[in-house]
Amino acid sequence: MKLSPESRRQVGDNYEQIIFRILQRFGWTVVNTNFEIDVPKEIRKQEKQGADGAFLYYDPTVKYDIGVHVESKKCKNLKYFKSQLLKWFETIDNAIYHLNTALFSYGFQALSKSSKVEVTEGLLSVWIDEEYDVEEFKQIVRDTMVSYLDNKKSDSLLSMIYVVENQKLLQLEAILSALSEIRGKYNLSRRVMFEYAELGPNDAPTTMMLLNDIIFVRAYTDDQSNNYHIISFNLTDFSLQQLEHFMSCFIHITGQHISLSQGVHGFIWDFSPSAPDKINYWRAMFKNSIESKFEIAENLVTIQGFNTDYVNLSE
Amino acid sequence: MAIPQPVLQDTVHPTKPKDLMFILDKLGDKKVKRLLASMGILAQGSTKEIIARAAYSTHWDYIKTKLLRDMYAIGNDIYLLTGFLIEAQERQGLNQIWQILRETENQARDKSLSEEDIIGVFGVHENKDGVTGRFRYRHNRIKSDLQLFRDIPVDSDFSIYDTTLFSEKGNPLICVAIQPASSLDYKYILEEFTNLLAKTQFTIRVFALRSSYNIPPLSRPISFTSCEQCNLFMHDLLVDPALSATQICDTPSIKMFKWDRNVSTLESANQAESENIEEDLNFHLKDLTVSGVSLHRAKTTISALSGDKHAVSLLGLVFQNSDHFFYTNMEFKLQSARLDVAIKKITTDIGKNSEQIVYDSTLYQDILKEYWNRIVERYVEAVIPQSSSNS
Repeated sequence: MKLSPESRRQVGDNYEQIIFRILQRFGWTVVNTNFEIDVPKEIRKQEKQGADGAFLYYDPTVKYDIGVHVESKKCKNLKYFKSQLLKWFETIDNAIYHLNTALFSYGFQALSKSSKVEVTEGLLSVWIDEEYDVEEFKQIVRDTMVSYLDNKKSDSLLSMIYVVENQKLLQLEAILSALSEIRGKYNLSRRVMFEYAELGPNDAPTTMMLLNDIIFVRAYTDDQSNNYHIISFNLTDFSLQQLEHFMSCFIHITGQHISLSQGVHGFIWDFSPSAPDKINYWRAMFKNSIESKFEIAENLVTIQGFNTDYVNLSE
Repeated sequence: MAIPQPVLQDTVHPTKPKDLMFILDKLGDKKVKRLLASMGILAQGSTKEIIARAAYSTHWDYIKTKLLRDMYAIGNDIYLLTGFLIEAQERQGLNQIWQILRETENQARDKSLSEEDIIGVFGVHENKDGVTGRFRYRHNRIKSDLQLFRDIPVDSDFSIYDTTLFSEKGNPLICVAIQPASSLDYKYILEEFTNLLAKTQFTIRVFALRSSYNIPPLSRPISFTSCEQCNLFMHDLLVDPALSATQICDTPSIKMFKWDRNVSTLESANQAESENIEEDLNFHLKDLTVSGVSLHRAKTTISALSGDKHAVSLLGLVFQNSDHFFYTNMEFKLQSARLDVAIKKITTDIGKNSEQIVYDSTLYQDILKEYWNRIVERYVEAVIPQSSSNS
């Protein structure tokens, strides 16, 4: 992912809005933004702790709503990010704890549509101004997480904290832009859902689904017919050619490539809604294939570069 | 030119939350959290809750499964990537397994005239890391989409070690890491080990840890576990520009091609027994574009005539145009040094109940010629070394 310094600055100026926009567009419920959390003095030096955002989504695997505290940060470079990450984890940790102990006051219960809601997740969205190495970023996150866990004395409350950075944010933005761009061409409505067996027709993706590297969405047509297109997005490092190989495992159904920004490749799958047998077949294929998507992709990498020297047919 | 590498994969891996919970629980508190940290998730709280959440809510894709597999030290060697875990009832589980394998090998040796006759486990020995050995069978393999050899003895290497160092809680998990000769062998080995261990007091809970792996060249038969895999393989054949120079003779009356491995091009041969020509395919093929290919039917038989083995495989290819699928049955007859390829018939889904269209030689459209040329060329390259090494 390459952004010009100017583009990076422009996006960076609105860094807080990016993650909010993405989460909303993918169907998460906004509980609150830019609000204050009451934190006891024994934990924080100041009584109030600022919070960037609080969201809700329904997790079908646990069958209740999950509250997510979203913290958006901007930093100049990886060095600064590394120096602040432990502190940010602590801040999010505290926020999750206190949001969860006062669900009613912060509006979670009022907005929840399920019988139960728990704030158990934190999402740290980081915008880094200067160019950086994504792998180095991931390594810093992993190391800091281990260090944080090692130094934490006790943690009785369940919490999961995820970290996303420029690349992931821009990729998710690119998906949303692509969906908007092709809406007219394919007569799509705004109704979009992630293609997972666990999800119901109105469920938003879970955090883990949102952070997957290959995303399949179902985009419904705008004609009240309940017909839809399956669109896949590739957020991995695989090239278009490798991806086309991968996609070719979905036989009988052809995919039309969609050009996207941020190095993301998209395919809109072409099958006629009037042929339910093909759709069912595709869905069966898809169910098996999505599990092994990386495996297939890895094999394809092998194929692309396999050694051609070891066999001589004349021998 | 290179033999194309089949794309093989084992499809069994722990995706059921209960299985994942069991395996994760073995890791203990600290390792579970570190595993999730390696996935970029800072997880806190009671280990029980974390495990449940991780097992149920986390989407276990290939990368995550690989991280879990790595925790059990499976997958460090590219040829030992596939394995499974067995829960032993006590810490001495590995010794028990070793004893059983030795006894099994001795029994097999008693029944065999020479080492080459041994079927089952052999070559078992203990080393500082665990137990290693080989496994051989001559069973008829399960029916696969594309498989020419059913009677080739194939040895698969395996190694077994205790994962006590990796699993900190409860009974130890024994890891069996195998290098199967083909993905089909994996199932036999898994079954064999399950049968062997049934003789112990172990509670056998087998968790296959999936992996992809590269098949070493030459000595491996081509086999596919699914149409999907074969399709991928076929697709790869077709997109390789190195094959574009291959030519097929465009002789109007030909329905069968003969491939002689000593001849650089395909040669025409006598016409095969003709099929009943019912319909001209030309009309249906005029707008044909090849956008997908798959196997839809396969059959393999082996017969012995005058001491010469014939392996015949029916390969079904599917072509697709905008409206319909065309199913093509091709017969591959492998003899000791020759592969005959015949186009048996073409059917389509036009009309009800898959109307049959019998192939007509005048229908050689360029795209089909090129298509078949490439498949035949690559297919022959893939099977001939097997043939020669086996004959």
